[in-house]
Amino acid sequence: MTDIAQSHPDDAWLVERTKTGVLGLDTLLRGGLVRGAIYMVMGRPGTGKTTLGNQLCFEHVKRGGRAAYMTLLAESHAAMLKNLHTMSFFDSSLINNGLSYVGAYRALRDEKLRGLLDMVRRVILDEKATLLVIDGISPARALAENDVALKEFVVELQMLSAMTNCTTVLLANMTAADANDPEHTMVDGLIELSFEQFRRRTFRTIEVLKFRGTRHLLGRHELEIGENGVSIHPRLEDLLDGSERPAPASHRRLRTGVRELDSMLHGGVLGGTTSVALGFSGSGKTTLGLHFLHTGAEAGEAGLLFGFYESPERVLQSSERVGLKLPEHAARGLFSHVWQPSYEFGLDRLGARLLAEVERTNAKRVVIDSLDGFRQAAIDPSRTIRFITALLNELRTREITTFLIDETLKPSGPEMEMRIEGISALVENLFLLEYSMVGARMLRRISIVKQRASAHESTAREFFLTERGIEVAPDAISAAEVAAHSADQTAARTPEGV
Amino acid sequence: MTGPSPNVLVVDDEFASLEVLALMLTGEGYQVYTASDGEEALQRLEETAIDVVITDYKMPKMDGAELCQHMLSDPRFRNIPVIFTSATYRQDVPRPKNIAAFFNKPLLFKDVLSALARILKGARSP
Repeated sequence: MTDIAQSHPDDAWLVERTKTGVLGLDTLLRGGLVRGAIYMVMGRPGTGKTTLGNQLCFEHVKRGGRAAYMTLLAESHAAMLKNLHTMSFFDSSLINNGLSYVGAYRALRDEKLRGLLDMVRRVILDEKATLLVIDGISPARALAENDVALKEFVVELQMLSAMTNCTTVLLANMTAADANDPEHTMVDGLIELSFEQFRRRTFRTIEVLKFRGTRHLLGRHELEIGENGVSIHPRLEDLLDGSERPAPASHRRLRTGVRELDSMLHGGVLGGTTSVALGFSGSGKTTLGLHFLHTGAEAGEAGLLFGFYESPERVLQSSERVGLKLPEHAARGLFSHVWQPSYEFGLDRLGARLLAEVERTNAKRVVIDSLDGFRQAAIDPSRTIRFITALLNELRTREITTFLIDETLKPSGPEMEMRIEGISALVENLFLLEYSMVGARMLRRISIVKQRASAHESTAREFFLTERGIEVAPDAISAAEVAAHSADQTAARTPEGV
Repeated sequence: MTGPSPNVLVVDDEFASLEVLALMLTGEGYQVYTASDGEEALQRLEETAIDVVITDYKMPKMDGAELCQHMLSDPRFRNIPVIFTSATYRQDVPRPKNIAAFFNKPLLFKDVLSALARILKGARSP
């Protein structure tokens, strides 16, 4: 007997992954699709199935694979390609050169599921496809004799995918509510694309409901369709999961750029910590943040302003008016400004954007203006604190010193409070910027509510907004006068006996 | 493939493995016969002149190893090469003498196809 003893290597038992190249999807799947497995991507019309299916094919071919996109009863190939051609992943030179488009409805209609399976076999073998996308599985369902026949078909398709080592993706126009159908139980992975609405804003989301053989990120994540096709922004707190990574301790003091404030802080804030400047609108919080970035840039340390309100031009103009040379530092790459309206982005897109910009600019100081931008961007408000916790931990781990701006609803007094519950516990340093009227004069004062692991001045000081930005008084006397005056005024307004 | 289509008997109790491998081999020009266990496979061998047997190891009634032993004990079947397949880790699978190739499941069709070609070429060589 001939003994050729041919066999798979032992590592054939291991799961081989194929990276999809779709931004965020491989992260969600913790590595990509399993080679030779079968997946179903389901969702209502408009959720992005066809874009995702095509993008998977183009990216697969660009990475050296071969792909086939098979349609049953779907829009024509020409119409579909016309809609996709403006997206960055689209490359017409790959069509019929590694990527084939095949219509298979006739085989299904004439020879039912057996005919379709044979067509799939031929396409995979003839095209040497390593990725097959079947768009519109509903007709196969409609033409199946019964549920058992459909289940048999999916099992055979799964076997065919495994035997040819061709990853197969079925696109289905249905939702998780239909997920008890036979085909759902048989596939190796189930992914749902859907719409989510919050305050009249509609977001696309993606959820991996099932993924055999490997862990994946659970829950719904934001999905965006733009000029780059589908991009996925995994939930930051799941993605980073960095609670186990200790944030490096630093004893280095970073100056805030406001001389007397640094004196109150006994030299500045500790490196790698997070500070919050809390105050009413117009109290000088943003200016304080700009000082912080400016003084870092003066020392050659790159800084990033991540803002939601003022445009980059206005910020540069404002900074010049108070003597801060941010335009010069911007030209030298030591100051950058990412600006976006919060209502256009979900939390995770914002988080990804911020971290990408930190990486790109090698920023060591970050100012976020303001926390309310995150609050407004959150689809689920209860997530905001978890998101911010993860983001701050990540920034600490990267040895970045962060300065958060948070606006209060009152200009002064004990009622001043943060608008996102739980923030104060997350930060090491908390500065309070208040103002009040003393007669016809507006008086501002700054106090350090806390500076963790460091001594600091415990009294408030008066400060001024001048052509040199924020200037803090050299001692606490004037602020004490303001406090005394405020107390007198409060007492005068309080009716006797109350 | 040139000349008459070789007769291949595929034996597997797992429906999809059997059906899909049969479909794929038919597509490549083989004449494919199927059986769902060892006993049924012996019946096919009685009925048809089989060139190669592809059999799974674990099956009800009569498993792949027993099928091989039966074939070895019958002068009519002892020279028919067998491709053995198993979802079990290969060190744990017995190796009867008539096994020409062994594959872990999931099978890769290109491996099966190339093994078949080599086995048949060897069988036809003088």
